[in-house]
Amino acid sequence: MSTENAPTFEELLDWVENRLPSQTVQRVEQQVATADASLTNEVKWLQAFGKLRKQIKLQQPPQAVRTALMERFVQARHVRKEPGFFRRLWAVLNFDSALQPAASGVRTGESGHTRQLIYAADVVDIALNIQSNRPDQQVDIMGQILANDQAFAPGDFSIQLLQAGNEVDLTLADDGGEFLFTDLKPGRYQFVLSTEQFDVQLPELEIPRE
Amino acid sequence: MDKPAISSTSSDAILLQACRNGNAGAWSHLLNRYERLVYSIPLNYGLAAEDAADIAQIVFTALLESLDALADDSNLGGWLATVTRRHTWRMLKRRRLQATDTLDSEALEIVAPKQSSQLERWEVVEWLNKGLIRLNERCQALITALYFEEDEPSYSEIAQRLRMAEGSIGPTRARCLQKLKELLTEQ
Repeated sequence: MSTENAPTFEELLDWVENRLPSQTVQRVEQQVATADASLTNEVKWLQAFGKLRKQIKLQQPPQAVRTALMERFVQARHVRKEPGFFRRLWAVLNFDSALQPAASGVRTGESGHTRQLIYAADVVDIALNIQSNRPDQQVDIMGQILANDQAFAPGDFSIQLLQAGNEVDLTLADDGGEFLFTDLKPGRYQFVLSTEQFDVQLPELEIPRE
Repeated sequence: MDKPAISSTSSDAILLQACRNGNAGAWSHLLNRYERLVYSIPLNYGLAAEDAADIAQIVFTALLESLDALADDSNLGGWLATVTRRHTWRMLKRRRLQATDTLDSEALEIVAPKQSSQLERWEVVEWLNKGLIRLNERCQALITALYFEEDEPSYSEIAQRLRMAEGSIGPTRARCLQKLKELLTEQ
């Protein structure tokens, strides 16, 4: 079909959305029926977009959210910050069994290695046990969150695993504060633990190739 | 050297630096650009508007707290989506909700040929928002009103809201959607 005889994008859109005036419908339907690949793909895209957009919500938040965030900006950048609404915390590594002498009780299973790391942040301690006993060099990481503050429960946490800022996995702590990531390949990982009141970021962890 | 002027088309890096310098206008531009993304991710997992609003406040407060640590070349939209996702997940557990059902993967393959067909909802929201923010503000407002608002406002309501002639909405929407299609299919 020559481009001169092809329907315009607006006509195609109106046709897909059933908005075409009745006198134009027949012409456009005929043009679509004899369309070349480019026009057919255009129609398919519009139809697919029409389906997808009904499944997705994309909305602006209420004005009150914007007002509160503008006020928070002023507080954060211009005024001495009051503690409270939300904090971003960085945990510090306090213990790494890989750095301890062999006699101090590093656990090793018969079939592999367990490395234990303990981190501390303001309100929480985090223990990670890295189990690496597999020929494919993948590891499992079992973690536990220990709250120093009665204001929240370890089970309130989500734990997000990132590589270079991109999510690798996401899980939730159980009521005992325990969580598990399995089948992790060697590489550098970041852990971020979150509740409603704060994010806790751990120092980057490297799982080495053995 | 003069500092670059701040506008709605300034890059994320320039806006972030201006925010570090206490420029409230830059912060407002960042909110314009990303509040829809951050608010919409929880909605797409079935959370109520109130929960989505709470999460939006948490996420942007986290951004405020991280301004000095974020690199200028960081993917700010991706960072915000990632933070929103973990807070959404946590809230879902708290509300004892399940994540909502999967998207139409066939439609997704056609609309987003360069993306994986296994995209999760939050990734689709991020991808859509990335295309939308590259449109001019009128197109953004028109496309979101016509295609993504739940109550599906009429042309007449949209014309009033956006101060457009009602007769111009059809052609304008076609131009805006055609532009959005170009942007989305190249992402």
